[in-house]
This record gives sequence, C-alpha cells and structure tokens, in this order.
Amino acid sequence: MSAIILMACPKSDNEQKPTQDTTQKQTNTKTEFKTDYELLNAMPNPIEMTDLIKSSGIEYDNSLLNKPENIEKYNAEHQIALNLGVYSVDLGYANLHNKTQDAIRFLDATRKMAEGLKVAQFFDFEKIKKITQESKDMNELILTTGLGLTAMRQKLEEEKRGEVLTLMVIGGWVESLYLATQVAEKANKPALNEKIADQKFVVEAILKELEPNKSVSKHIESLYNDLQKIGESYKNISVEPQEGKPAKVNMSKDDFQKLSQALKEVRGRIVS
Amino acid sequence: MKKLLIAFVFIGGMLGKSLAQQKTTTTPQNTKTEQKTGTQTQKTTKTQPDPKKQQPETKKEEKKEIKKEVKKEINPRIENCNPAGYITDITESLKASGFKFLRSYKLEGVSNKPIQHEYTFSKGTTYTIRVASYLDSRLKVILYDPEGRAIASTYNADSDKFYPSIQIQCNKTGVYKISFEHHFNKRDFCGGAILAFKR
Repeated sequence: MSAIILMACPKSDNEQKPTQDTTQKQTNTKTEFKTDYELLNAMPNPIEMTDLIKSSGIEYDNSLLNKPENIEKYNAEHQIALNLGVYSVDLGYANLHNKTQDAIRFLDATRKMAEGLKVAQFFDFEKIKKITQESKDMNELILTTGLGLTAMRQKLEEEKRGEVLTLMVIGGWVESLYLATQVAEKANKPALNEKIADQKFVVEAILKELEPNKSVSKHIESLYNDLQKIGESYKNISVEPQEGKPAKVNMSKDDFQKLSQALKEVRGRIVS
Repeated sequence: MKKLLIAFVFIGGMLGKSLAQQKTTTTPQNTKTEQKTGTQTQKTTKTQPDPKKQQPETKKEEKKEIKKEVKKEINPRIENCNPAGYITDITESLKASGFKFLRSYKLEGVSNKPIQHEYTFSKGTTYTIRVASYLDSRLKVILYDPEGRAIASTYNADSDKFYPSIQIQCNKTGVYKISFEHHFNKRDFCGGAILAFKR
C-alpha cells in the first residue's frame, strides 16, 4: 500500500505547473513503467518462428500480414511501438519467402514506425532495400535487418524507454505466434505445433513483465487483459520432454482453436 | 549436460584472421600512450627550481604519477574500444555458415564481474555463440542451462585452449545464461559477440 502511495507522488516540482487543471494532475500522477530489461532480452527473436513457418513448406500468404497502408492509423506512441514489432516480423516473413515487392513495402512501414519513435537512424534502410532488390544472400538480409533492430533495441534501452521496447517486443511476438497458428491451421506440422505449445513459457514471461505495470495506463491494462486471454487459452497446453524421443505435445484441437481465436482477436486489436 | 549435445566449433580461418588484424591495429595505441607518459614525466623533472614551492608541486606530480600508474593497469585499448568493429568481424564468419542472426552483444567496460545475458533457447534448434575480443584478454564464453549448470565453454581446460565459438543443439526449451568471463583476473572488456541459430 505504501509503495502505491509513494509512486503516486509527482516525480518533481518541475512537472507541476501552477495552472494545471485536475485532468493534468491525474496525468502527472501516473505510475512509471517498470521494465525488466533482462527478461525482454531473453525473449526469443521472432525470426526463429518465421523461419520454422517457412521450413514447414506452407505457401506464403500476404493476406495474413498487416497492411502497410495501416501505418496512417497509428499515431499514439504505444500503437507505433506495437506495430513496429508487427511490421518487423512481417518484413522477416516476406524476406524469408523472397517476396521482394512485399518486403520493400514492409520495410517502408517499419521505417515509418521507427521514425515515429525516433530510432530510425539505427536501421540502415537503404542498405536493406538494396540487398532485397538485388535478391542477394538471404542470410545477409536477415543479418543486416537483425543488426538494425538490435541497435534500435539497444538505443531504447539506453534511453530507458522501457515501455516502448516492451510494446515493440510484444507486438513482434503476437504477430509471429498469430502467423504460426494461421499456418498450423492449414497443415498439421508437429514441429510447428510444438513450437506454438512451447510459447506458453513466453506468454507467462510477458504477463510477469506487464502485471506490475497494469496501472500505468489504460492501454497497458487493456493489453495485459488481452494477453491474459492468450495465457488462459494455454491452460491445458503443455510440452512434455521425453528421453530420447520427440517431446509429447499436449494440445487438443479444441485447445488449439481457443488459442488461435484468442490470438486472432488480440492481434486484430493491435493492428486496427 | 544430458539434455544437450555440445560441440566445439573451430572457426579458425576467418575469425582467426580478424583477431590477428585486431591485434595489429591495437598495438600502435599502446605505444602512443606510453610515449605520452614519458613526455609528462620529463615535464616533472624540469619544474624544480623553488624548493618552497616545490613540495606542493611535487605532491601534485606524485599524485599524477600514481594516477598514471593506476591507469596503466587498464589496457589502453579499452579506452578506444569499438565493440561494433568486433561484431562486424564476426558477422563475416556468419554469412557462409547457414546460421541466422539472433542477437549481438557489446562487450566493453571495466568490471570484476562477468558480463551476462539471457536468451530463451528452443528445443530442436542449434545455436552458436561467437565471440571476438582483443587477443590477450583470454575472454571465455560459458553457457549455463536453465538449472544453472555450465554446459559449454569456449575454453577447453584439457588442452588449455580458447576457441572463438560454441555450438549446441538445444533439447530443452528454457532461459539459458550466456556469461562472458575473463580466464585470468582481468577486469577490462573489449569485444563483441553474436548469438545465431539454424534448424
């Protein structure tokens, strides 16, 4: 209780102007976002999931991806951060399938989002565009993109912009899992099913990160509630490692459908 | 240990070459710093005429000397450390390996403690951690499993050799700790590392 009272105090005198009205005071008294950077950095890179989707042999489907035109909708910082994560995954998906035109559109969308967060300077868009257009080595493309995203993350961490970084990571994770479930609906691929089931571990970590931040803002609270729905749909899902044998994936059709539906709804709200 | 297959990978060619280049480029920096020290010592011997004023001056100079000595303990190359350069070198070795980039880690600063990072490794995936640092640092990478057991290292105690990378096939999903540590009691870090994967 005392911690809540302490955190509810304004940070400094400079933040309180004498002419402030009640609404402004409420804004100033909002609690600060607490970030566990170690946990964020431990989160799996979504490229692992998109690489598995690619290797499952299911055809590329750009109707699953967020439309680059949607960038016009994202004005608030939290929307931009979430969708920077979404577009960076879509970019990786298009790149892995060698879809140059789509990749360039997603690259532009990623750039716009990064500009909105003032971290675009760490991403070498021209170099990536050139590699994409020349259809050079795929690994080089992933490497250059990955280095750019890492530099962005490091900058956000240096600037202590933990909320933005957290939302960017969550946006990317939701998009990659959404793509995985959409692809898994079309074909039964054991490795993909196992990877999807294994993400239970990740959603638990994300909820752990967001739980103490629920009161920071309405959008964080709403995102936490959404992710909790994903967490609940994992309730009966588990992976049992077996000595010398492939792991046993406990995920019934009904469990999968619930998870897939929850992801569709949450991802829909992120990109809308 | 039972959950993971561990393999040491020798990437002598390209990475070894780049390490050798790092050594060559850093050597002149050493020389420059030593020269500076020499010049400043000469200045101290010139300013001695007034014995009354001399005492506080000498004390100042002594302090300066002590500071210089302490500074000397830290490898001068650390002051101009460029981890991005080391990371670029490692990426060259990654391009033809079939491994895809996941994370890069900057290793810089002065600390008695290891630099540690965590990452969620997924079952069925092969990971590599590649490291480059200035040659005499004897930096080693140790990988700890989710239970905290050391399961791989770039240092082989049997042969007393350091290798530029480790490679593991993960058989259990979980958060693994990547620890960058000095083999001897050094405290200065200057280098870079990359985590990559393949299926």
